[in-house]
Amino acid sequence: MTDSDKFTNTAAFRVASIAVLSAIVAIFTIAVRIPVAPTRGYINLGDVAIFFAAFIFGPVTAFIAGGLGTAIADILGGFGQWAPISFVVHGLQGFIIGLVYNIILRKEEAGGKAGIFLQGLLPFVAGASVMVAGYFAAGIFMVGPGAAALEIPGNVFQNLAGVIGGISLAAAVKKAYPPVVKFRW
Amino acid sequence: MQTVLSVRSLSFCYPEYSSLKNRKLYESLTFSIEEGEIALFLAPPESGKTTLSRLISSLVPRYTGGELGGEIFVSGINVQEEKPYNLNEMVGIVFQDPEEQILTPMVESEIAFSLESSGFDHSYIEKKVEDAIDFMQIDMLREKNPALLSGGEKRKLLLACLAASGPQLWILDETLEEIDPSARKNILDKLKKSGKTVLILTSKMLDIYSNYCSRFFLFNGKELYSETGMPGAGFMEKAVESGVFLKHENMSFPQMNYASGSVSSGDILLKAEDIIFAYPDSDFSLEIKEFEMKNREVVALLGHNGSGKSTFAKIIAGLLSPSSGTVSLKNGGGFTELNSRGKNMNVAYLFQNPDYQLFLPTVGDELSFGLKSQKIGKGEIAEKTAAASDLFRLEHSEVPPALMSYGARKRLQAAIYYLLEKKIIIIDEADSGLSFDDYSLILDRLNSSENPHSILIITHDIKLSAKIADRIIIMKKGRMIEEGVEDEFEKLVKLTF
Amino acid sequence: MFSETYRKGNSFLHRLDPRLKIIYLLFFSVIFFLPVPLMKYYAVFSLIFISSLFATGLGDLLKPVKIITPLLLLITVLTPLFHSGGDVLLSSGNMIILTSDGLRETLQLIGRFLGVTILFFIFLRTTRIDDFILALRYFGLSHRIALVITITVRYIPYLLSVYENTVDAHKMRLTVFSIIPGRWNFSAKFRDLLSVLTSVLIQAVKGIPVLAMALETRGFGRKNPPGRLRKMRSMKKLLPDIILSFFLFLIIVYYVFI
Repeated sequence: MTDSDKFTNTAAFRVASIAVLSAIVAIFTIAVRIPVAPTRGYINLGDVAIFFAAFIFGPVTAFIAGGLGTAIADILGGFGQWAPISFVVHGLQGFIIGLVYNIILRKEEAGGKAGIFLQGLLPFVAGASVMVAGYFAAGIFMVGPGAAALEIPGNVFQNLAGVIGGISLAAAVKKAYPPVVKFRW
Repeated sequence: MQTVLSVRSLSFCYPEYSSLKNRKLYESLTFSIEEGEIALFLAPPESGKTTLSRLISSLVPRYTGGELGGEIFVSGINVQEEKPYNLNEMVGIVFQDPEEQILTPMVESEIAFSLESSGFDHSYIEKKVEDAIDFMQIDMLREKNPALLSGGEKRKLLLACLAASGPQLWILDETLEEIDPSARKNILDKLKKSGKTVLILTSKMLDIYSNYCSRFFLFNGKELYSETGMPGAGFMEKAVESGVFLKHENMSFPQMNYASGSVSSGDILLKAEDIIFAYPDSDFSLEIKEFEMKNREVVALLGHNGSGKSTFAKIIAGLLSPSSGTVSLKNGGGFTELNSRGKNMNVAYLFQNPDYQLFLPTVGDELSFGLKSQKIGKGEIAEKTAAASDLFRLEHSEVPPALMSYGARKRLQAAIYYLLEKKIIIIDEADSGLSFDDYSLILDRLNSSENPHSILIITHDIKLSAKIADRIIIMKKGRMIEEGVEDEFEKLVKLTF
Repeated sequence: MFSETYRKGNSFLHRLDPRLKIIYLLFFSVIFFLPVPLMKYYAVFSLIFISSLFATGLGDLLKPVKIITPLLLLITVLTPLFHSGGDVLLSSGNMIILTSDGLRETLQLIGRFLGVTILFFIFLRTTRIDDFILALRYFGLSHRIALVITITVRYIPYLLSVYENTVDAHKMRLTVFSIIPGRWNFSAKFRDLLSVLTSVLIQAVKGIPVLAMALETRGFGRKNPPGRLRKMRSMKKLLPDIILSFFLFLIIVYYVFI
């Protein structure tokens, strides 16, 4: 079987995986909300889905799915004005996480051992810094530095939930549906 | 006449995963279809019909892996040497689950999809789309979102997609069975008149097929029988044996005078009273005055799609909250009203799709999951799960459920609830996907004397329910009908055959 | 699902070509982010607000404003703290609460955020998603990405129903024999959620090869350039609108900057 015949290399498979993951990111953002007790505010799990996409499918899928999924979620939720910003920020976030994870995987293939701690820490640092800085920078222009700064703790927390949830889900899905390990491209 | 489809000594086997062994789907399958023929390929569920359709369009083993032997020719072309996308003008399939095949949020763009891929110019595509809409008579659906269509409408849309791209071979994977009888006849008329070559894959021999099909195949998982013209008595006998055909005269219907919500006598286990429910932004409303279930009783809830069967069942299971009314369970001498959580705990709702609830790496994990939250020792858990695996024929406890066949996943789903010792089990019937053997095994085990459950079956197919139910209730427009039951029943009988 | 954002209508904004609408959207967004005198800023905002009224009516147009009200209040409270320049307008003892710089900056941010919010809202309210994608195709979006967006939009309601059913199916795994677990506690809730999400993801991921098959049976993957069922208006027909828009842009730029 030549490389171009591998099913993950077909245009159809790539379009399919990006579209399904984009829908997943959107749904995790819209539908799965955990109330944060005292303030009655919500955090969403969009970042969990982005981390999952990056771990299982790689940087390109995570880039488009992260950007597109969150942008559509913004539009559906009535926050259309944030959609372009979400597209760029979450897209980059997914891309960076995917890249960092690729490096870890390559190291492991070469015989190195990253360990679960490093496997989580590096993607978290990379993803969180892009996402938190991106929203803060955009926020300064949109709503001023004061309101933008207020978002930082929540965003850091969402990334933390993202990496923990993403790693757990990736591991669970790999165990329950082994063929998925071949889906990375 | 030209041979359109020729399958020669076909054999196929899906790849094996660590703990999952796969059997060969076919050893050496050989058959052919001539131009302008409507051919019927009968086979019980899970005997490889869907795989066959995907082998013919070169999608398998491309996306699944597996071992293929033999050859498949469509109009003289060896399809396995071609890329599927280059075959879209030769072979067209309607998937068994239309949800998996619909790609766009608009009926018109869905129909145009294949023509757009082929790169035709604007005016040609426009004309072909119009023709296809005309052919399937779906003008009123034109601007709708396919996701909002009914199951039958979705299949009509996908047939229109084939009409637009005009492949030489049409493959319908359990398609017509889910379309209402008058439209079904209409479609077969048109296919016949326009001289299309059609391969109908199905697990149900409907009476209507003998009027339209000129070639019949019966595959029982091992051997292939074929017949041209009309299916003879010997062929039909084999069909009955393989469970793809039920003779009318073989059927005994449970007593119809029980066809109302309440039970005249016997020890009642569950009572629902004055249930009222309405969905927001919809005309549909549900109103059930009285519904009772006896111990170990099997009740079939019949009715068309949208008659409120699932809504009512979900209220019993505590998945929907009625705006008023109560559900109560026998408790000693009296009855205790159940809240949502109480309903969740006492009732099991087996979704048609078993995958909604499966998430663990192995069959063993899935079975012991619920037991681990109870005060039971490890040894006892192992004992119980082993016994359940045995009862439900789940031979390999190390297999990931997500890789098992549909029938095995359904058996696992039932085994999980068996272990949870629920009082009432609701089965949202998996109509065509489940083989009769698996279905009766599941019912038998859940309704056994050692572990008696009361069972409520939701269905629009009277075939199986008639065989097994103690009592049949027919629902229409959110009510359990009490008058004119016989007429409604006759209508449902017609739908089935 | 998108019915929540798009609403049928026959206003001039509904009829305006989506390509022009995208250009309007970009043009006004840029204006809102440039340093413009406050008066002129609100003049542009009023122009957009009033023309949007024709498309939706006041009640509908105030919906997005309601959503962002808490954020606007936050801006009002926080922004002055960052600006101590200019005349002191409000102070309490030694504490300066509001200066003229602070007031200007606050009004500017409020105007900007309101403006951008209304712009996007009215764009999505009056533009069908497939028209939007078609217009993006015109501006160079690739066939594949356009297809990804289309399928995503189609899959969201489908996977949402999968998610909802999965939540229900997992509820059914409760049993009367459980040592009634403290479901209020966070770690149990988190575990429940993870198992639901695992189910959803397995189903989604399993569907990917099948979706790829569906795409290929419909001819996706061919090398030839794709055809199109829906066409946009020809440039010729659009010419009057383009000329009109051009002058409108000129007038606004002239008014705002000179």
